[in-house]
This record gives sequence, structure tokens and C-alpha cells, in this order.
Amino acid sequence: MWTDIATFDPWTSFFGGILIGLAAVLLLAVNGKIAGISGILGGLFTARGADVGWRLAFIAGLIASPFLLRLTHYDNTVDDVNGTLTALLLGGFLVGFGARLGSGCTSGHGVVGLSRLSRRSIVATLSFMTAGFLVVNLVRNVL
Amino acid sequence: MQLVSALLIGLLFGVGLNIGGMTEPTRIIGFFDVFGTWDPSLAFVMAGALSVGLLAFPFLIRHGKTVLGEKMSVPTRRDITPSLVIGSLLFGSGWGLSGYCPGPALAAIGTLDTEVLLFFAAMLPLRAWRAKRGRVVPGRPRGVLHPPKRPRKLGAQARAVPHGGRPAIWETSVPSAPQRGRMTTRR
Repeated sequence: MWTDIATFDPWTSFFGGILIGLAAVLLLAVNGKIAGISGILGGLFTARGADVGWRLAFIAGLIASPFLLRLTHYDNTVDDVNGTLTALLLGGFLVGFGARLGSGCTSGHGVVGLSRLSRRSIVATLSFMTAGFLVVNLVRNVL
Repeated sequence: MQLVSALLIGLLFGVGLNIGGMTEPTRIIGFFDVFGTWDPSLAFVMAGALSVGLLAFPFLIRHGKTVLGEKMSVPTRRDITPSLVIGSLLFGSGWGLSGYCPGPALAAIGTLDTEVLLFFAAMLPLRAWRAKRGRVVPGRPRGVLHPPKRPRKLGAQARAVPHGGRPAIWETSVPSAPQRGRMTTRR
């Protein structure tokens, strides 16, 4: 079951990235929306009328994606070697709160924002990359 | 049409995340663990996404309309605010701690893996609470939160707070109504 965990294949990663970029471009080109997952998900709490449907449809597609891959026999088992309960719960809390306060997440700032060369997104991406780097190294090497 | 395209694009986005290995938290943590066993996958995923995005987005935005001739909603804000930086720092800390961010968490949630479910459950309540603060008015500048139309009921507010109705610490520091228009969030 553990097909490609901990093995690194640059071309597979790059190809995955191209699909993500393509999806982000298409969502703006066809639906006129920014592919920021935290914004799409969070917007569900305030969205009304026609603004609800596309969000639900996009999220449904996202959730269905591993099953589509499984049909094509691409095995991508989620590993469970990681994470204490504290790391997951505190991590989830910080991700939810931080994405809201910082107006976006890895997709909205990191993919779409950087592609638009938005100053805010460049600052945001540098900030969350730095924080991620510091936290991981603190957990791995100091604690 | 909009629903079908959103569904298919969501599917494509999720397939990209899965193929890129972004649904595996060890790869995210491994990317930051440069002094351990470094996993550069994330850099290659970003490079792939940006190679498409950097080419297409400037063109799309200059065009200004969707392929169906409808209007696009693109963020227009340019100001670097403390909430942008602090929010992103908090986000990055949570990302590094758990190895998950919202996209991959959704793209992996169908596996019903306990870890993803725990992460997702912890991520959602605050999102709901922040969202209840105000609503985005169509036609007004994006990224600006406006006060709710109806006066908030105390009961409804309490239910939205994920602390069993007890007001959260930061609740006391909410700016008063005239200033609230400056608050931002949304992308």
C-alpha cells in the first residue's frame, strides 16, 4: 500500500503542480473566481443564492478527486506516520484562524496570488513559509 | 454550466494535489525539514503551478471577463496590514505543525483518515466564527467586510463561538462599527 511515500519524484510533483495551476486558471477563466480553497470553504458560511452552488460543486470535486484517481489505479494512500493529537488539533485551529485573518492560504496566496504578482500574496507566502520552516525545525530539532 | 465547470475544476485541482503528493503531511513537513531528510516535492509542485499561473493570469486579468463574458471577482487590495502578516504567520505555524492546509485536507478527507478528520474539525469552527462577523456586499470593493444587515442576536453570536458560548479573548478587541469597514479578509 505504501507506494511512493518518502520517495521523491520531481516530475510527478511538477506535473501535479501543473494540474493545480491549470485548475486555478480555469476557475478564473470559466467561473470568474479565485481558487483560494480557504476562501471558497469559508465563504460557504456567508454565501447566499447563486454564490453557494459553485462553492459546493468545487468542494465536491476536490473531495471526489482521490476516488477518481483510485479508479485509474493510482494508489495514493494517506500515510499515518505523522502527527500527535495536539499537533493536528492545534495545527487545524491555527490554519483555520490564520487563513481567515491573513485572507488566504497556500492556494489563494501561494498559487493564484503569486501568479498575479500580488504584493499582499508575496508577503503572505513568505510569512507562512517562514513560520512553517521555524515551527517544523523547532519541533524536530529543539523540542 | 457554472456548477458543472466548478465540479470538474475542483476535481482537477484535487487530482493535482494528490499526484503532487500534497495530501501526504509527511511531504509538507519534510519540505521544511531541510536539516533532516529533505523532501523538495512542495517546491516542484509550486513551480509547476506557477509556471502555468504566471503565464495565464496576467493575460486573463487584462482580458477582464470570463470566457462566457461574465465579470471576474479579483482581489484589488494592495495594502500590507498586520492582520495579513500575523494571520499568515499563524497559518504557517499550523501548516508546519500538522502538515495540512485547507486544500489537501479536503482532497484527502474522502479517505476518512482519522488525522485528516481531526485536522478538519479543528479548522472549521473558527472559520465559521470569523465569517459571522460581517458579510461581503456584492458590488462593493472585495476584501472588505461590512457589518451585518440585521443586528446580531446575542444568542446567535454565542452559538457561533466555539467555546461553549463563553466569549473568546479576542472578542473584546473587536473594533466598533465605524472602523469595521476597514477590516479585511476574503480571498
